[in-house]
Amino acid sequence: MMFGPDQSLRVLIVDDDPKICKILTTFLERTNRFENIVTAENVSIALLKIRNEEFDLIIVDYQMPNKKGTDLIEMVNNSLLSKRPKFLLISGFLDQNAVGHALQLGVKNILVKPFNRSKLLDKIYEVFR
Amino acid sequence: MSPDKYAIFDNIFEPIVVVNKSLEIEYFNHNFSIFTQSSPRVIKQKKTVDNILCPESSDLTSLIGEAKEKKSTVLGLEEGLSIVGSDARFIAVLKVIPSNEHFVICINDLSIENKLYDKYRTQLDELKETHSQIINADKLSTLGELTAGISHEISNPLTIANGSAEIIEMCLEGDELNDERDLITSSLEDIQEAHARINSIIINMKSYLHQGEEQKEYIHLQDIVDESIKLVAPSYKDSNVDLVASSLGNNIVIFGNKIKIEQVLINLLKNSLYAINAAGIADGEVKVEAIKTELNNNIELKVIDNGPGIPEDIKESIFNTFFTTKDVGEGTGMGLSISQKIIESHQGTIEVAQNEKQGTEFVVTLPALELSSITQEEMLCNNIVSSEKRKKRVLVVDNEVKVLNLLQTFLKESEIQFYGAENVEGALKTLHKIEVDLIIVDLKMPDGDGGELLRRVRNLGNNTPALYLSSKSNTDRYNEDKAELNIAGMIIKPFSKDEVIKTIKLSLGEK
Repeated sequence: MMFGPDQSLRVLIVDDDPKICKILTTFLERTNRFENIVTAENVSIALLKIRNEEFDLIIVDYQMPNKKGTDLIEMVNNSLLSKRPKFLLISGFLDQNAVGHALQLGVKNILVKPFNRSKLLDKIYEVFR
Repeated sequence: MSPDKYAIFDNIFEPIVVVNKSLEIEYFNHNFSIFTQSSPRVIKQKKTVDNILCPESSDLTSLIGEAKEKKSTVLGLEEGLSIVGSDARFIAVLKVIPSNEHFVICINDLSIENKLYDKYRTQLDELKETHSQIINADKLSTLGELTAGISHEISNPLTIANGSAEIIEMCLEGDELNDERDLITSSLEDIQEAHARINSIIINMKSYLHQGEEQKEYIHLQDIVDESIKLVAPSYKDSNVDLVASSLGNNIVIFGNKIKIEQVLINLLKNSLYAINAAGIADGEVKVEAIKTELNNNIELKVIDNGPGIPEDIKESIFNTFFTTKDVGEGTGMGLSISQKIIESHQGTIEVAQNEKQGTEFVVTLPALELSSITQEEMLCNNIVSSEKRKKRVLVVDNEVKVLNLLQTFLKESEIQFYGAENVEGALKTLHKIEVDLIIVDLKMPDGDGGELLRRVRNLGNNTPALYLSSKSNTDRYNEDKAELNIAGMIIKPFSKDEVIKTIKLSLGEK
């Protein structure tokens, strides 16, 4: 699937900081390319939402209380979902182990905080390339 | 001259000269001639001893006069001593022993001791310098280890600030600004809040790294705990370990170096976190507690974790410098040894509690204010000076540490000894231990008011002059109590340095 002007994507944003969720949502809304933007504040809520509806892209923070972003990716990968969503991992600080783990899980794109709007959109474009 | 009588002095290695009351030389031993580098012929020519010896601060005639009057041996000061007509200069003590109408002057040459003292002094200073460098190195490495957590903590608000600014930018590109008003306002608020968050993190780091190294002040233990927790909280959050600060006594004040005690607490908190993580304990929890032990006048600060505990075989070594269980590059092995040195410099102890339960409990014991305040002042005062000449002592009782620190600085400059107490109970304990010349009491304190304190002091038969320290609204109270409690005056908050010193000196009976 391409991230072209004629598509409209369904995205789930998972971050424990509501302000980060709000900024991501506003950025994505204003591109007019997302038909459905949903947020979740932790991995458990994210899993519930994934069970209820289908997403093309999941943007997830690495560092969250309780379960980490990579845990969510692992669980989604091991689930019996008919269609696999794409992932974009966001992080403020990654050590080597964390990067290694993420790569093993098939994550190809990591966005490091702090980021700006164009960096975010570039990364999303790369995810779908 | 009667040389036979004094012949025994020739066998003594000390230079000795015997004079009469007009300082005329009656006899001198062999070593006196060597010491003064003058031949017996020259000494005889000079006649009086003050033509040969020239003490820099004392006067030979008055030393002899004193010995004559007291009819006992008189010691001069340790001073420079030069020889007339020679470049030689010694550090020596003169001893005058009266014997009938004669006076035996012994010269105790301390030049070598003095040089050794200077040398050790320099070496000691160098050691101190190295020691403070090591402490600083530990501080830096601690902060380095906390960087991962802190950088994560900063990148979130940075993202929010930056993102919100871009949202505003996007809004400004639109046609109708009024539709976006809410979004712009909330974005602006988010930017400000994010910046405040970043700022508070940076300020914490800065104050941890750069603050007066040796300065001790009055501090609330609570502030130390709060600020240490702020620095380690991000690391705890990352690992999902709970950090609980509970039962921090009420308003415990200690006298010490804030940053150094924070350094100790951070070291302990970091160790607990590392131990819990290394053992992979799921519901890790670390507790910080502080209590004032009633019996021993101590304050105990405890860090308790539910980690794996310290293995018996290494318990003995944990406070050794460079002892670490971490891999090369992960730990320096300095944390606990430096913590121990810091606590010792506060006359305290740090130990691992014997515990049957799982986990580790570190107990830092610090002397309560009434002890540390006295220790500090006693260390600085000159015990050789007789009691009439000793510095005046002032006890200030106030629960606000800012007031204690301010008055301490003021009084130090005025050569007055300062003792601080944080409450009524502490003040009574201090008064039990030492005699002061003036008591200054705050009127409002958590465990009772200053008037009550004075009433109890007066009931004990103690009539030390006292001052009230309070805001203007309490002047009535002062007027009521003045006669009954014998209160000399009142310092009105806020006060200026000159005012306060003037009032205190007046109450102490000084100009």
